[in-house]
Amino acid sequence: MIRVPAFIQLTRCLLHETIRMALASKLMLLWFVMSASILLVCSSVRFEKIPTSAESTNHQRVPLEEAQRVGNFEVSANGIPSIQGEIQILFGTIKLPWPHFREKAGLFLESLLGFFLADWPALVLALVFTGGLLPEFLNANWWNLIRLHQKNTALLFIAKTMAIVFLFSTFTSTTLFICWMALSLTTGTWHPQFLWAIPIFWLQLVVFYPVSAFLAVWTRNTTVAITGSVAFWGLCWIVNHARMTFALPETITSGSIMEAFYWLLPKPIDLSLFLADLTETLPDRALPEAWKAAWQKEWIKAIPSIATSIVFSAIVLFASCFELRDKDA
Amino acid sequence: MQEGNLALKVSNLGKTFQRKFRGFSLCALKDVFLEVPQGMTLGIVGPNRSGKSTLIQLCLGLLKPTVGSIQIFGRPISEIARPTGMSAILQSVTFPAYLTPVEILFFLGSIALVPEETLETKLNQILVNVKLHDSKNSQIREFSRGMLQRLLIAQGMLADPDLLFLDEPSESLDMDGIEMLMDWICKRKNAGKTSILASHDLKLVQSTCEQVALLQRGILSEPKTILAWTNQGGFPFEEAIRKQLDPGMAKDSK
Repeated sequence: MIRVPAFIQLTRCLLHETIRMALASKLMLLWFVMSASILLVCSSVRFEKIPTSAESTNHQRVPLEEAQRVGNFEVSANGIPSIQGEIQILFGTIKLPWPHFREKAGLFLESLLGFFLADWPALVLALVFTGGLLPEFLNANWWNLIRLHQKNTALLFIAKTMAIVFLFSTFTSTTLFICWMALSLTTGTWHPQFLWAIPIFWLQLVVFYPVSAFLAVWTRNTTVAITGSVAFWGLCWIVNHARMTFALPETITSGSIMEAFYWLLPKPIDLSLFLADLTETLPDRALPEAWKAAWQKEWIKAIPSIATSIVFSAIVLFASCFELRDKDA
Repeated sequence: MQEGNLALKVSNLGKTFQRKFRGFSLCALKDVFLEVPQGMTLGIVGPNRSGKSTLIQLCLGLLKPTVGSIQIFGRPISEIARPTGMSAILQSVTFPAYLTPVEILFFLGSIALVPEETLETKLNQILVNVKLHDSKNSQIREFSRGMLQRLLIAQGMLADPDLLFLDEPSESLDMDGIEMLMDWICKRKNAGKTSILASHDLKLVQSTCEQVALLQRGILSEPKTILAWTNQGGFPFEEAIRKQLDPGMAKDSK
């Protein structure tokens, strides 16, 4: 049985090796460039003529009937403030007309930031960027030498997988935090609940990276690991979407095949909805009506949904350890 | 020979490689029996594709035998500690090009759970021994084949196991490197440690091994002392080995 300090030593040295591996790959550089670009965009945001809600009492108001005709506004008894503001991005290169208060503008921008850095675009990119790391590590000419120094291959594999997830999640979390700080400083709107995006991204990678790891063990091929894991994410998305769109709660029977698949597989759309809900950006996200309906009917249960997704990833990791033992013996 | 004194016992070992989907199979080793006492340095010679690397990988547990059994120090392979119990200098190892020798040795030592304090002093000494001290912080991508071989020997020194397998350890080494390798194998012998050396380099085998076995077409001959080989027909050792090789395979051994 391995001692805890020894496991920490093992994970630490694998983390160091993973950092060197990632830095040596050109994709890591691309990841840095993308993060810097997003940071630049966040730092360049300016609000023009957008008042805070506290200032709105002195603002010119649209009559109640007119406001109700236009719709989609919170209408108080004396109408709504007439706001003709503008969100300027990239130092005024992009100008978006904005008819709401500053707080809502902040939430809108945070919903975009959360979408790109913590929702499926970030996950798919992370799967692409990390897809080559394990096949390179498991290359027979290097892996055989590693096995001569540590015979517990399951331990090595799990420590390496943890190191990869930890490295990329930490890197993305740091980018998220810095971009959020930049956005908050430039716009003057502070929503600390946005930081929920950080654990949600960790969860996404913890749930989906083991599939890439399994394919790496099985085939030792980067292309298969990347395309397979992204395709698997797509399959889970389709099952999740189909359940919300075609199988309305009233028609679902406990034994239906779709329901079984939904509970067996990870649930990417559920995770997106949790992200939007926790960061309070759900109303600002352009989501399909079926998803919003499912959410409003409280049809998505957070704990069972997350727990079953994590169980799935644990089973895949376990299967990978067996596959590794059989393949290498 | 008493079982307790054996570093390696191989019984009825066979390995056949099967190609899936093509119905193709290759018998790499057949009916191998071998007993190596503790403290001995055994040489295994043979032409290319005779099964030397396969035998070593089976003994290390990197491959699964088709038939037969292997015991190391009287116990199954799975119970032997790595790398302190047994380790190897393997052929065809590719080091990550982005790491330096210090990082590679530190990495291998760390995954073997050697305490970090002792590891640092130990690996500096080893890098001096293999004469890689000046390039210890250079990336592997800048290394020549000879330097990579020295690094491979360095990782063997780091482990310094009770039973060491050496698969073509002198490959790409210069004269100085071969001398360093010979010294190390002799030091191990003096320390009572067991080494099994598979090589085409008959001079290295002759100068370091007490017994030598010939492996041809997957069949291993009974190990004999250098003296027994030279007495057989009255030829020098290298000539005696070449005479035993199949015609057409003899040119593989230097």
